[in-house]
Amino acid sequence: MTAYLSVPFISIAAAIVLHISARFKKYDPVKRAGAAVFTITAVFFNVVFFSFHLIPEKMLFIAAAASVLTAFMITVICLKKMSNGLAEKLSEVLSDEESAKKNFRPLHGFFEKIRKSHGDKCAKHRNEIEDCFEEIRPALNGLAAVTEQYFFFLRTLNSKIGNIISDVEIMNNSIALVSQSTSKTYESISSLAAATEELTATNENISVISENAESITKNAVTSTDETINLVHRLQEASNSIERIVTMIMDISDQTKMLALNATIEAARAGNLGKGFAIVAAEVNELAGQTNNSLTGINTNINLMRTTSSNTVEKVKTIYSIINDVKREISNTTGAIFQQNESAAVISSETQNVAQEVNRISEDAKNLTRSADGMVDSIKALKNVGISIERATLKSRDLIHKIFDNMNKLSDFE
Amino acid sequence: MAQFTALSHDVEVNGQTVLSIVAGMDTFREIALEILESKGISSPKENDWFLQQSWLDAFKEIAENVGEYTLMEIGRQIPENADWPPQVNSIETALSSIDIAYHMNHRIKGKIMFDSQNGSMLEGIGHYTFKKDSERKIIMICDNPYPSDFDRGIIDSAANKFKTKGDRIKVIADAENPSRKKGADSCTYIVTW
Repeated sequence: MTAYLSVPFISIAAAIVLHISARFKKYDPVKRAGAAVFTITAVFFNVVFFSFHLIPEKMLFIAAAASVLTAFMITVICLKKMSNGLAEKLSEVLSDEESAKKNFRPLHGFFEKIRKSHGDKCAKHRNEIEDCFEEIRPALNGLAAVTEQYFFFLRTLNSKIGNIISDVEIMNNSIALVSQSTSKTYESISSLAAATEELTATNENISVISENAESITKNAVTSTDETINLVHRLQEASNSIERIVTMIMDISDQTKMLALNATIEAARAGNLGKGFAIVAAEVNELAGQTNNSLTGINTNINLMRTTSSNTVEKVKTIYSIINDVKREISNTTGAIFQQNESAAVISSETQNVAQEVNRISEDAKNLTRSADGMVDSIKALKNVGISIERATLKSRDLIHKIFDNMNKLSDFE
Repeated sequence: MAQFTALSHDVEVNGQTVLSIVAGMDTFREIALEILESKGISSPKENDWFLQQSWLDAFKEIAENVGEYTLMEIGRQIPENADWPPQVNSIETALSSIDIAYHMNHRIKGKIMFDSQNGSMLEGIGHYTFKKDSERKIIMICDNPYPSDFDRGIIDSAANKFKTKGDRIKVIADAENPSRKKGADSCTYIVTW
């Protein structure tokens, strides 16, 4: 019973608390009025039901709930009516301010207060905002201009980077070609060095051959000298033979004279001298034959002398030729020696050049690798530039939006 | 008057005006100088004179490749760096003087287009026409070969330079009138404060 009775009293107490709090907390008049109506209605129904014991004890809780619900419904209906009335009064205020002031002075004063308070605050805030806009607008304009220029700069930069990439790629191709050329040059120079070494070896062989030829010519000169001496000795021998032949021819002539004398003496002796005349005739004939033979020998000796004289001349000519050959071989040997020295220098320098070319080739390969890396880096840089370019474009659009919104806010009344 | 096309090939513009491009693109002044050089304007000095068409070509390049805010910023530099006569002391006098200053910075066949001695003005480069509409409203009609946003920058900067404290200048393109951005011969700006 007590529990059931406590419900309506609690609802009454809640309505009173709401009403009092509405007053102290300065709720708006509609809520305040609602709270008052709610309180009065709840109090009324509870007093009616419980004071006059109209309801059985068992139904107390239902009755309490029904009373609260009814109070709430009545409150809603009252609020609705009040709001309708307020709307009508407000329309009166709008149409006839004097009438509104007269009839709704407190409400009018309340709204006036609100309007003035909020209006002043709004105007103040608006001024402050517009002052800020005045500061922000040129700054934003400058920012937008710089963003545009930055965008243009980036686009130009990207274009230049594109050119650099293209140039580096061309350079890279050129370096690759240089590398190929240096490799080929290195091969050629290596072949040249090998050929020079072969040439040096061949020159050394020629040098040996020349030295041998010089030695051989020297021997030939010696042999020629000896041949000339021999021919001279042959001439001397033929001269001796000629002297002997002359002497024999003299003897033969004397023998012939003796045979003639013997023939004459044999003729004076007559028959006794016939045999002796025959011997004398034979001696005479032998002397004649001897003479003939000696003449033939003499002819041959003269022929031999002439031939040996010619031989001497010819050998002298050969001697002279051999000397010329010897001199030429000597010159050739000197030239080959110099050529050997030159070939050695060429060989050494060719090897140096080959090493340098090889180094250049290696450098060119390194340069190609560096250029490849450079192209990759620049491409990455270009991508960064493109990203920044996009970001800048977006920034410009955002600034544009800020401008639009600022203008909308400025125009807002 | 069509944008970026000089009416006469004999019109020249002074170096001080040309340098506004450099001032308007101060952060990227090397690019500004590069653009000027590509159009035949090398190392501009204040007292030099350059063909107006070359300068307009530079403007065209900026309009096509950089953007409208930059054009406006370049326009802002003109009143900021100009010498104003002492009688210019208000928004009205400043805006009405733009046309005179414009002609003083140009010359045709070697003759400066505004004679300050007798007040005569030569024709050939268009005008900045000033119209007072109401107490705090001015109409500016820009009929010249320069870009629309550049003119807006000039007007905005000149009005702000001579406003009184507390005035808030608003320069808007008159949407009801034709615009050079859309191929018309002139642009109309409404200045309120």
